Amino acid sequence: MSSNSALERTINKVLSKKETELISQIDAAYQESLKNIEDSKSKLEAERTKIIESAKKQAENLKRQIVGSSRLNARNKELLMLENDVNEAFEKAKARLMSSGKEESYKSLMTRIIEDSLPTVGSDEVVIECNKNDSELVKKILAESTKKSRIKTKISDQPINVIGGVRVKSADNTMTFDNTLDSRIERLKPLIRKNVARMLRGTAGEEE
Amino acid sequence: MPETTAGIEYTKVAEIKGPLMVIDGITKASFDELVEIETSEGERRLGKVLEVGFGKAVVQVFEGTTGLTITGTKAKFLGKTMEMPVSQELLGRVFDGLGRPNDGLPDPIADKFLDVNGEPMNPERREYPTSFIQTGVSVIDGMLTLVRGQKLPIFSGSGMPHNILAAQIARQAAVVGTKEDFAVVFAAIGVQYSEAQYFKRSLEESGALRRSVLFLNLADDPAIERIITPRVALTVAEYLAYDLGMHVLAILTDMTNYAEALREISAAREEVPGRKGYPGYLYTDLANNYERAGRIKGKDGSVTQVPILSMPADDITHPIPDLTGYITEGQIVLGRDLFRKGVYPPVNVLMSLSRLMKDGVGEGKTRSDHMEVGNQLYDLYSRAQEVRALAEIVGRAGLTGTDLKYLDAGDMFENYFLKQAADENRNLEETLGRAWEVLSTLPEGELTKIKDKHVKQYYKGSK
Amino acid sequence: MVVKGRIVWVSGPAVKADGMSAAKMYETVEVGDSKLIGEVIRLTGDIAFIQVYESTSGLKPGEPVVGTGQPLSVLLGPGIIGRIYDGIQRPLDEIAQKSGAFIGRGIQTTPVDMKKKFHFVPSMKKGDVVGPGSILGVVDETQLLKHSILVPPYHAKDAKLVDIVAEGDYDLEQVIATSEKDGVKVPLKMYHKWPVRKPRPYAERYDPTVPLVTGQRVIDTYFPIAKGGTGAIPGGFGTGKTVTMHQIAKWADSKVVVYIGCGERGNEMTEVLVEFPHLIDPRSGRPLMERTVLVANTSNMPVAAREASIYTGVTMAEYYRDMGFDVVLVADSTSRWAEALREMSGRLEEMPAEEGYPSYLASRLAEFYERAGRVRALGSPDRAGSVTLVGAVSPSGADFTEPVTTHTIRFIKTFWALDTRLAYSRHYPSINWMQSYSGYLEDVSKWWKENVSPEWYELRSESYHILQREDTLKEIVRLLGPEALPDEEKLVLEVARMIKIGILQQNSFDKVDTYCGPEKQVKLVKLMVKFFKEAQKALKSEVSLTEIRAMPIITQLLKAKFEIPEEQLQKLQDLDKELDEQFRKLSAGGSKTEEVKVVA
Repeated sequence: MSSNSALERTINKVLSKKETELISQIDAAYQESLKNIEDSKSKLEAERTKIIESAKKQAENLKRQIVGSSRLNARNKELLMLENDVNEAFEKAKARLMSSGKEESYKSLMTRIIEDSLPTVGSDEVVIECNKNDSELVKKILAESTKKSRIKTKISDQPINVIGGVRVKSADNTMTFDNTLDSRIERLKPLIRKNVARMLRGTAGEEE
Repeated sequence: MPETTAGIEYTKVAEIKGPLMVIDGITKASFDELVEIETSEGERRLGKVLEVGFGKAVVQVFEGTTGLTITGTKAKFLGKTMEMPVSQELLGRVFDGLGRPNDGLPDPIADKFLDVNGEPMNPERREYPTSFIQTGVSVIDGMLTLVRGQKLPIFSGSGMPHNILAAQIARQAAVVGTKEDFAVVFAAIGVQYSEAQYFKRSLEESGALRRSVLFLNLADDPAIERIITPRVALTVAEYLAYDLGMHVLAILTDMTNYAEALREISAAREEVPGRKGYPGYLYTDLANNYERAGRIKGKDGSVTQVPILSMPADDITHPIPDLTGYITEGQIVLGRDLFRKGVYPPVNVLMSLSRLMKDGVGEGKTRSDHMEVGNQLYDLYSRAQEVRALAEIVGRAGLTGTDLKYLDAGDMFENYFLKQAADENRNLEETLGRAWEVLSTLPEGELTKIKDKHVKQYYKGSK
Repeated sequence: MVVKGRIVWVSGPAVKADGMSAAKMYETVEVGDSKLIGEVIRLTGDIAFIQVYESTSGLKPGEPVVGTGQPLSVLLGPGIIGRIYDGIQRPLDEIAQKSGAFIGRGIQTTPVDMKKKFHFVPSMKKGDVVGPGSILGVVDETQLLKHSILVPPYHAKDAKLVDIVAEGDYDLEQVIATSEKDGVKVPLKMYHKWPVRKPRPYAERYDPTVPLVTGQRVIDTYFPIAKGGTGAIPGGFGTGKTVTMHQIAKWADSKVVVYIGCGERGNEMTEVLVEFPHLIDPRSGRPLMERTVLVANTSNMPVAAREASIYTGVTMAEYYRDMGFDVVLVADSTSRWAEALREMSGRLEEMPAEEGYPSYLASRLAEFYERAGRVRALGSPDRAGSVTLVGAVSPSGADFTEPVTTHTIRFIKTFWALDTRLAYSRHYPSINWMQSYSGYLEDVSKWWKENVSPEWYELRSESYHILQREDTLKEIVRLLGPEALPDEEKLVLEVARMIKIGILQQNSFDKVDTYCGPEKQVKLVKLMVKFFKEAQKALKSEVSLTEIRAMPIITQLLKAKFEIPEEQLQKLQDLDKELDEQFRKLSAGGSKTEEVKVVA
């Protein structure tokens, strides 16, 4: 018995040792898996924060983009509307000019235009073009002022379609000086637009 | 300002050669005068007087002379130099290479009209640039610091990511300690549609389009127009900066195309060429653009310029990068090797330089060790490159212990400091932190460019 | 008779006018309705070619050209120092007052304030004999500078002073003295004018023997320039030309500095303007601006004025030389000046030589550098003055075989070659010690021996020899690696590295390192040479190279240049003791593990 019991004790001892070993192994494995879980949890956590961060960043960007472009679009619409108004104002102004042909102030304007234009071309012989209504006026002005100028002038028999003013060409047709009211308005347009726009906008002021 | 006196229209075209048109029978024309050309089909183009004598004027046609004829072409001399209408409304707009609307919107209503050639800034009235711009890109902030009012070009080569880098700078640039945003003036000079589009989208996505003005002359647009594109862009930049008090970042890409347009005109004029067929005045001409950066005493705004140019055959001694480097305040050079290795941004730091860094960093501006750290990093990488070359011949076995440390530090520099993502915005503390981590892999005695007190404060390595 | 012509052709800065047969070569003319300033540079029949110093945008054929009868001249008198001028001596601050932050056209200015009063102290009296260059008296132009009032060089010889004012405050327009010869009375004021293209005369030329001390180690110790000498700094972009020029302008031991920014960056001129008033001259204790004149024609300013700026600057330099002062003129960059010549030449359709430069490029460069020199000035009292000329050269593509560099080399005696490769490795100043040379080395060694150290020449030679040996050894290292060399040769590499870092490299932006006085230079070199000798001895007594390389003294020697300021030079003595001590311990053995105390 004793030997048996000794054997048994040994076996027991071994078994219990194995048992504790096993238990500790299991425990270690458990601990490890716990740690793994913990690890992956924190990893997940980090991953999650990262995703949220980047989503936030994206959302922020998107928001900026949307806000930015919607403001821009609104501004651009305003620009288009303003341009319409400006053009309308121009057309009205032109129409008014068309009907102002008979005023006395127009004659003195025409005189100045013609007197400026002739020497500018720098040619000895020039052809003057104007609209149908003005050709009498031009003739009259030329008749009154020929003495002062040595430049030979001729009025074109082809009327041009303009509001007023003249176009002066050298006789050989190589040079043209456009001094019609139309071209003057065209040249002044950028300046006038600014004033018209300011009036149309009133005191609303500029964006932001 | 547009004048009320009209210009004369001439029809006597004597000669058309290349981008030039010679007109005879001229009685009144002035040097630099703007010319409006009408083709026999009624199409209108713009040009300017390059040379004028009695009876004759040489006119450079911006949109090219294709389709022009000796008879039937009219040239009207407009009595003014080329002008750009400017106002705050320009922000958010897109124009072509000559400054005409390209976005379906009307002509801007001008606050004023400015000569696109500008005038030379009086050096006596310049304010010396000293405000640090944080770009969020480590290699720039740490070693090639950009300051407000500087002109710092990117020297690149075909296929390299200069646009990505420029767009990243445009998105992230901030003056530390202020809430001010940069206005961006972008001039595309003969670049491809996709490149211009990339830039536009990048601005759009960051909501910056609203404070940007874009000028687009694309690869298929007229080449001679490119002479004007940077000029209109910089005219607007100056207006935004000095009239409206904004801080402006002007990006001009690609200046090589600009120089080529200049060469084309010079060849057509049969001028005596300088190097590689470029005109002798290329330096002066480039300077007239690049020098339009800076700050003015007593004014709030600034113009910071980042021109981009591609080096033909990656050759930095080519006249365009060469003359540019002589004018600009440093250069950021992109390197083919790093690009192939997949390092972004592939900045070849040894060839790069920011001349104004010394004035924008240090105590009270950034951090007292900033300049020294930058210098030491240069030294580190330069040694590392030497050792790398040596190691290829003699192998690692032929190297001393210190050499080996440099070899590893060089790798760490590239991968940990230089390399970053195109949407990664690092603040200066992080940049300098990374720098010290790299430096700390070297023995302390190697840090010969850093004052002892800074070594004591920041060095983390072993002795 | 006033010449009146009219413009017949305009192309950029070049204008042709007819009706000009009475005009003189190099006469200054007013061009066009807006009266732009120009200069006649060629006459053919009644056609004059004019280079215009302002933008010609908007100029029309038919507009008038009016002669002034005068060649392009500068006004010389008190009030010049501290100012910044454009290429034709118009003060930029005055231009700014008239046209704002950007430079307008047709602006009339006077170079100095004619109404400003200076306190004149006469040094001559009635009845004295006066002639060209005689000093009538002095005024304090700045606290640093006693400005002598000179009788103009074109004045008659052996005239008699018939009148001179008493000591007191006078402005420039007041007559302060009157001379008389053969019944002709000449009123004299505190200023006169001189044509810029004509060198000012002197009595006699001397050999330059005194070094211009610049406080830059690689210059002063290895490639010195003498007062009255010539030097050139060629270098590709980014090699630090301008920084080196600034360093010379800041620290050179001259009485007056003329800084010409010729076709360079605007911000660089601004930097000088901002910095110099705050920098203190180590010798006089006064702001550097009180001895500096700036001539600025930046790269975006009209190109013709760039051509003139060099002459404007050198004429002012000669004027101060004639008072008996040492003057340094730095011109940054002569290449841009040469390009301006090329551009004008091209517009005039002259026959080009190499790379489009005109054939007279070499002779123009020679004429310019010939205006350097140490001279005995005209007139009494006897006095010597000097003009030292330093020109930066910007070779395209950093290629030293291009025309401006090759021609310049023929006319200068000191050559500081800037090296792109050194710049890439951040070795600044990037002066290549193998390529550079100085023709003044022997001439100035006497001064160093007498004033600083008798060993100067030997120390320089010994340390330079180490660099030369390294240069040959580098070839072997490139093929076989450093470990293939015997220890003694490895030591040469090590010490050469120390000389490069500790002596040749100098940080211009470091408060201490930016200026290194002669004494400190010699002492630093001496320590390096001593280290080399001691290390050689140690190697022979069986100390390993690894142990030598690990010596803490090395880092201390390398940092001494910026850790030890000028006023604490005795610390170099401590370093010397420390060096002895560390070597003693090494050869005694067992020092490896010991912590060596660091001397601050």
